[in-house]
Amino acid sequence: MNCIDFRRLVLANPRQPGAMERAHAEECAACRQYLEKQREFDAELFGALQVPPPDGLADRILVARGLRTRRWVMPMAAALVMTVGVAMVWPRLSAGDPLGREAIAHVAHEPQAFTTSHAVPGNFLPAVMAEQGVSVAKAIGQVTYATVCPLAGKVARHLVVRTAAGPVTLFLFAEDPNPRTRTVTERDGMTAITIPAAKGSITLVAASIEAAMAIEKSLRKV
Amino acid sequence: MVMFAPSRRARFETVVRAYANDVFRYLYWLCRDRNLAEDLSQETFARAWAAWEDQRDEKALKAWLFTIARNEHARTYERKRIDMEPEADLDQIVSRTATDPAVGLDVRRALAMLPETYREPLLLQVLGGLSSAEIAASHESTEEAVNMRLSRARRALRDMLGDSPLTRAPRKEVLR
Repeated sequence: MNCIDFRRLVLANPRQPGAMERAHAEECAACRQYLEKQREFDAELFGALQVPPPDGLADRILVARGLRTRRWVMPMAAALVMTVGVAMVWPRLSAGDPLGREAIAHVAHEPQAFTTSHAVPGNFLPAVMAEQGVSVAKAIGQVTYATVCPLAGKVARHLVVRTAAGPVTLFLFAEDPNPRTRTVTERDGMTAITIPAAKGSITLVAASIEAAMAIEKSLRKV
Repeated sequence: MVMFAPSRRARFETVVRAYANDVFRYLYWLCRDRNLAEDLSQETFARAWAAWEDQRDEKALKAWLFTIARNEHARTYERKRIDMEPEADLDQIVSRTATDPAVGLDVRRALAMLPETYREPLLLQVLGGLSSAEIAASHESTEEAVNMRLSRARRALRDMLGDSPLTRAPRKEVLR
């Protein structure tokens, strides 16, 4: 592949270069830089497209289809601080939490999530967390993978965040119908922590409980 | 009263909650009218529910929803005969903006200036995460044609955005 072909293909899809494009980028510094610029550009484009949707859009769609009755949404416990380790009971280690087990299995079956590098804007994580009524107290790392996956009968955002303690996978269930309490699951050398959010729930999966808790401690209900 | 199997209903609800916002954003960027985009989102999911099949896999499902949304948008414009600005030529837009040193468009404005034939596949790829093959299927086009539009759309946006640090070309490079 030559540089012209590479750039033509990258312009069409900078987010998922094929094997040949990746091989060319390994060898050609100028094209590697070109790919990086295109990814930055796409990240900015993605960010610019994120107009806020109307509040309660999904609920209104479901009400209109007769799939949900109108209801008052319970006020969120806005003042509660979420899941800081010192404020919580020390995690109950459990191998029996189905959501944690499925999350770990999902991570094990998607190794490409750790090798793929998506161009994700810096404000993406705070924005998606805010959709669940959660703020991120400090910079926890760069999001390098972001997609939507089916998991445990629901659809979750699947993110990988590079932290100082290693990569941590986040599954964000914005609309988890099940009330959750904090659970910790250890399996196959990985730890999953599921925590309730103001809206839905969040499952963190990491190679160590310390890495998962480092993220957990930086999250706050708003 | 018609009773639906809980799994069918529950899965549809899951999908609405997962994709309603993305469908809304896609429609908003097609019509740039929040109220119309919300109405079209409702229509999109009404049609999706009417034709719901549980066996559709997640990836195909998203492409299917965006195709319905695109068709709903097209149908609305046909039905209401909204006065649309005639589609400008991409090269004319780019040359008009690029020759004016004062033009420093932001991304949203530049995107809004893209002709719909270029903006639409770009939205499907960037917002919807659709592959070129999926976009081609929804447009009844070929993958090569879609890739060409995507390339031209990105190049046009970069040209319109001018000499920003983001779009500035690296100096002195030797192509092989």
